[in-house]
Amino acid sequence: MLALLGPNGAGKSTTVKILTTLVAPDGGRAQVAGFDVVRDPRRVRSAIGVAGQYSAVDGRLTGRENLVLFGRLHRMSHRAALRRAGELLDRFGLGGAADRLARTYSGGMRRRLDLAASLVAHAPVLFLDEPTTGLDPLRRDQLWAIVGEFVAAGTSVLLTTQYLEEADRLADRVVVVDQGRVVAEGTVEQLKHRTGRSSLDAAFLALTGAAA
Amino acid sequence: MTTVDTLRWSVTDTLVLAGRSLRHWRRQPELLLLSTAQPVLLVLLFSQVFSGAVATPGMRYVDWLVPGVLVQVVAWDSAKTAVGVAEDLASSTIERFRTLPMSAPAVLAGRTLADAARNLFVVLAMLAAGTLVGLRLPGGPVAVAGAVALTVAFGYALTWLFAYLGLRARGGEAALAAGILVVFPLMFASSALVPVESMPAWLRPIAAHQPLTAVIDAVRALTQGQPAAGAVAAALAWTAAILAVAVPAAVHRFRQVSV
Repeated sequence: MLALLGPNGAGKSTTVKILTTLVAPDGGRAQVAGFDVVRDPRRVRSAIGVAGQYSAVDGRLTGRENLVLFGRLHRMSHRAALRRAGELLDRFGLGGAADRLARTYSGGMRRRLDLAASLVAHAPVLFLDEPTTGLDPLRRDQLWAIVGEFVAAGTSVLLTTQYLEEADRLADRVVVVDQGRVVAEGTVEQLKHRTGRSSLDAAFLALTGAAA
Repeated sequence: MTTVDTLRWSVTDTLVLAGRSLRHWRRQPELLLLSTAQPVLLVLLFSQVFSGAVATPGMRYVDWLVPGVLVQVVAWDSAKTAVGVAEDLASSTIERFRTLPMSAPAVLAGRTLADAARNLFVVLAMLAAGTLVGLRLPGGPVAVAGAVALTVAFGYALTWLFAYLGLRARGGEAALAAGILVVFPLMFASSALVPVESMPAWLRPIAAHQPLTAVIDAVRALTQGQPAAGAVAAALAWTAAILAVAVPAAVHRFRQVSV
């Protein structure tokens, strides 16, 4: 897992938009899962799952219908999509609420459903754009645990976050961006070592110049 | 992927997304009921209120009116597509769809298809209401079915036009305002409620040659069992022309807009 860290407006979300083919880059090249995001956007889309900062769950569908919709749009058969939806709902602790309209879900439930939707197609690469913003600490912990399982199972994850604790706990490598540029890159330990700070918080502040 | 595969998937995606819209309505039956009740009320009201005031040559007023209101209502309803598209665009739903390996135009095609299904339902309800207030359909079942199909097809073409407007507007309310601006003159400067001949001289040629009048005249001729070939040809030509312009424009615009 790679964590993309940076202050507000640093370019995290723009980076994610380029990598998920939502926005064309002004210049340069980017590849996701071996496919060029500009030349081969459809192959890139087949290989990625995206869970956004704003939940894209459809409140007028049930939890199950939401997941089936995503499965169908990922070119799964209705039966396969239905089976996968059932698996994910159980895994995310939404089995009991599967056939309720998603607009009746709590914030945490919507967030879990949103994450589940990004996992429907067994994508090898997952983009999580500030997935825990607005969640209470307990829910955040639960979400981290689930993401951790997927990482352990071999999914590559790009996580953008403002919670340094999240990066510290989950990420193998961290890239710090500020004003559209990469200002540091490495493991959490390397960054702490490089800046001479003992916590990632302090290292982050030192790197983005916010400490001054 | 081959072209055939691409086409097949576009159709599947379209049907999946049309299913999504239809589910939304099933979840809000009161909304479907109310939006059907309004047009039915229009038929009932207009047929009573205007029947003594408007002279319709060679035709009872209710037989004149119902085809007009049918097409008016379908035009009005298709303007709502602009709102739906603009709202989808403002929410993160479409952005999320765009990260999927799906056919992009299917988002629009699915919605317009679902809107056409709703229009069919509303048109049938209005015809039923019309018969309650004395509408007669001497054209016979085949011609009436043709009239319904023509009305729905024209509405379908208009939904693509309004989908384009919705994609250009910033937000649902702006889209609605723009939609009303386009659809109101078309609805009322037409042969829907009164004969074009009774309008002032400057308005007459405009009202006589706009698309709603063409479709209304065709529906009227079909349902009343009058010679309809010329009117139907004009209505189909308008429908095809609107589709030919609006579909590529909306799809192009859809590919351009990034949230």
